[in-house]
Amino acid sequence: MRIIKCSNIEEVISNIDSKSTFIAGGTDLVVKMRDGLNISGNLLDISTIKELQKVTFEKGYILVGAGLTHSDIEKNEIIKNNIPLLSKASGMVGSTQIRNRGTIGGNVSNCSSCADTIPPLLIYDTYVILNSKDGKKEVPLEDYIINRKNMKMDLITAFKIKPLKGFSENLYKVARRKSLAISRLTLCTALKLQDGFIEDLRICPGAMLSEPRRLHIAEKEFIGKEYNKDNIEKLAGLAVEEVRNIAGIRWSSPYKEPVFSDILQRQLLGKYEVVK
Amino acid sequence: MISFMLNGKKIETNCKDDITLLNYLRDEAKLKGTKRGCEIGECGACTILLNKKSVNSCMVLLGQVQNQEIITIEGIKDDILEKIEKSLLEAGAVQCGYCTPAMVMSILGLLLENNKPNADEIKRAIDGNLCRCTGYVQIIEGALNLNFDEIELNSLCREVS
Repeated sequence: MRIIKCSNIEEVISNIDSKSTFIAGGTDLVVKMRDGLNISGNLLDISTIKELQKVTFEKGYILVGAGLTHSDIEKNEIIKNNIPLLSKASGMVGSTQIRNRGTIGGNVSNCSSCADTIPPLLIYDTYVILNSKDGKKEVPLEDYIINRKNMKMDLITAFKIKPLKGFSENLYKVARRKSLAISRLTLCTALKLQDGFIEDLRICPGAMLSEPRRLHIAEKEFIGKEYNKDNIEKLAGLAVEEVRNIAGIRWSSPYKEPVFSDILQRQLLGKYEVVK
Repeated sequence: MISFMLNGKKIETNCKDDITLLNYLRDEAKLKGTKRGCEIGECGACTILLNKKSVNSCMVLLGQVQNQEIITIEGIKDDILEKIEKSLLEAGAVQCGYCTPAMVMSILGLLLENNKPNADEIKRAIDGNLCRCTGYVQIIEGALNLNFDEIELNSLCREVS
């Protein structure tokens, strides 16, 4: 194994072969290596590639570089003002030292079911921009999550995100401590109301399913319905059912299901301070 | 050959590039102020400054620091270190001392971004530093009692001869 320190995207792409592994902050990978993960090919270090550390506007979208650390994202004014769920979630990752090192690209490609940054990205209908020997492509994050094992040789270069307009955006994380705590349950929602009716609704739990995903069935069922306490309660029931249909009943379900249902209702009824 | 700046001095080494920066610092450079703790990024005892940001050196591979700047507790100028040490001692913030060098590095990492932090900001800056004997209250107090204006942050490292 050899570490190749790459200074730009082109250099990464030209060094990719079937055994390559990308390394950015290393906050997941180095721990796995210590646990015995054997890396047979080269490690392509992307941690100091400036092109991957930019936030830019492009035709109504915000491009968030995959090499930005969680600290960078938490503090970035463009992200804070336009896609605040992402900035808030990045501030909830690990500890200061981990936020200073771990990157959003790493969080997504590692794709843990409790990854802090994925639920906000799914709420914003994010696209993943990938570069490989075959060129550049753009994939919806939902598809990336499902097919990511076939995209191991693709380098995530950026996330393309459209800010939401007229939504109230919510994020809540349940963990054992305030710091260095893996999410036990996270819930991100975005709700748009129009004349007392639900015009649009997005729900994404974290740490409840084997892979992060939105609850599209519950969302669709209640778009267009009247916004009232009864309907939100019914919606929470349907959302719990959807989680159960996807993930089955787990050892943690007796705890997680009622907590999830309660947080969902509180978020949608405006009982928490909204992120935006 | 891997080259980088360590405490203001240019280093060139032929060490294996896949060892952790922590192992390099302790075993090769013999800088034992950076402590070995959990080695999985949970205790923060190995905190150093990489390009002026506090990070866990157990999670960085040596090959990744090519051309980067590293500062360990040994590199900090005496007058900065003395002020922080004095303030921590006066607050009773050092018992066994194992977490102390890393606490100092985390506090310095914070001061580089924010030269007048409040208690909450200090708490957050050391949220990745585990202390199992002194208690965080005294450490936060020690950091808060610092006379921030007196700490000259423009050049952290001692003069290299």
